[in-house]
Amino acid sequence: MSDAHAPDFAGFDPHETLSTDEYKHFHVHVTPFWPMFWVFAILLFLTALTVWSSNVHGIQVGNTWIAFSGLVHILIAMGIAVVKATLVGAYFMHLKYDKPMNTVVVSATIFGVVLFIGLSMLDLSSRALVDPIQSGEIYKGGNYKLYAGSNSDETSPLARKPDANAAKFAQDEAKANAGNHALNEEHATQEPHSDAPAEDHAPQPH
Amino acid sequence: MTTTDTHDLKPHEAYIPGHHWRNAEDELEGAKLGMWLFLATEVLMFSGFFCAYAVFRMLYPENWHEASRHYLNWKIGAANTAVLLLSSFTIVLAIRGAQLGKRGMILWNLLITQACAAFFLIVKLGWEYWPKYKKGELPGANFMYAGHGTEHAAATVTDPTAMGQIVEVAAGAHDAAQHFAPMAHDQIFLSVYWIATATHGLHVFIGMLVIAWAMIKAWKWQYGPRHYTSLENIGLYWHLVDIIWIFLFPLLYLV
Repeated sequence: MSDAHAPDFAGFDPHETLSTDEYKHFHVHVTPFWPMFWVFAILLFLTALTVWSSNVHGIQVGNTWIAFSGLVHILIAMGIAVVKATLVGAYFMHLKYDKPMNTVVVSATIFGVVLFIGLSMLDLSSRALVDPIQSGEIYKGGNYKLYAGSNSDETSPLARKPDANAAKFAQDEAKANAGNHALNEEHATQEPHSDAPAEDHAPQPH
Repeated sequence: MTTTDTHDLKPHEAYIPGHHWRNAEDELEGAKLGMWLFLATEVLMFSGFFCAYAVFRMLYPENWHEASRHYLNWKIGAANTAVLLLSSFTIVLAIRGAQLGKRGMILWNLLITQACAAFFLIVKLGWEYWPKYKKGELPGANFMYAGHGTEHAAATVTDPTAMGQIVEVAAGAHDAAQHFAPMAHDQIFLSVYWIATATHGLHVFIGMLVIAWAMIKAWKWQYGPRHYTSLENIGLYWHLVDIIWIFLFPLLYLV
């Protein structure tokens, strides 16, 4: 009723228990120009750096040439991208100036993404440990190479060595062929790459 | 009556926060937290594409390297990256304009943002999608090896991962970068490229629509130092679209 408690700007006050000062409270960080401009400049520079780094095939250290594999290129590019995303998040999206709650949400999101992609990668890279049959399917460069006959190039550290089981199998088979027929037939009924002791496959004297 | 006549005030000056908020700052903070939660769902959606990329890249690393060099032009991607970064910067300046109460600063910066977004989409559609459509470099079952590598001696192999399809593979394809020949999993690369960039492009387009809405609001003096909540949230959305492109660009075009 009394005009003394009415806010001076809106005609009515829905917050009768609050003072006008509390109701009008609004303090936000005004976005500064120059820091944002420099962040923008750094982002452009990092983009150029990403493009440039993708064409660097290695570095010369003394007399040693260290070649960059595909994985190194991915790690460099993703490292720069993470720095860029952090700059955008901290300055452009002003997480740096916000209350920490928003950063908590971002951290939880990043945790979810890492869990999702990381566990998928872990699964893919370790299937062969559980099931050797699968190892032929999960194969650097694609299965077609097996058939096309080309089997040699740089290996990614993440990629499995495809020939481990095949070499072991061939070794077992060679030993078995050198032995007598009875042993060979007995061996054929077993797992092709069982961990049977080597003495079993030793050639018998005729 | 000491009450000011509201007719003298601009809309943003007369703005009253929702009655469930203690004050306008709490309202802005709450709206921003909600926006961040929405952005979290967006990130998780896009991480599905990144996961698909990682899985297939791990399976066929060489094939993907060759395919990204052959099918995509890094210059287009780099230009689009620069344009999106500029648009992010201008939307930051638009929010600064709102905080300073300068309508012209909001409107001009949002206009530059719109121009950048339009440039991005026009380049994407005109210089990438349309030529790819003409050449048959389409996702999934629509993919055709149109005119590539027909002069090479091709060995027909059965690819157990391609659902029993017979695919043609040129022998020795990867030792001659100048003679690109299609490899067995090019269509998987292109599928990931199309679905990821098309979803991103849709986000850019939606961003253009909401920025147009923000421009109308700014024109009507609805943004000012005490109230610019929707502009702030549109900015957050736009920066997220930018961040996603920051990751997509090197993954698809460079490495």
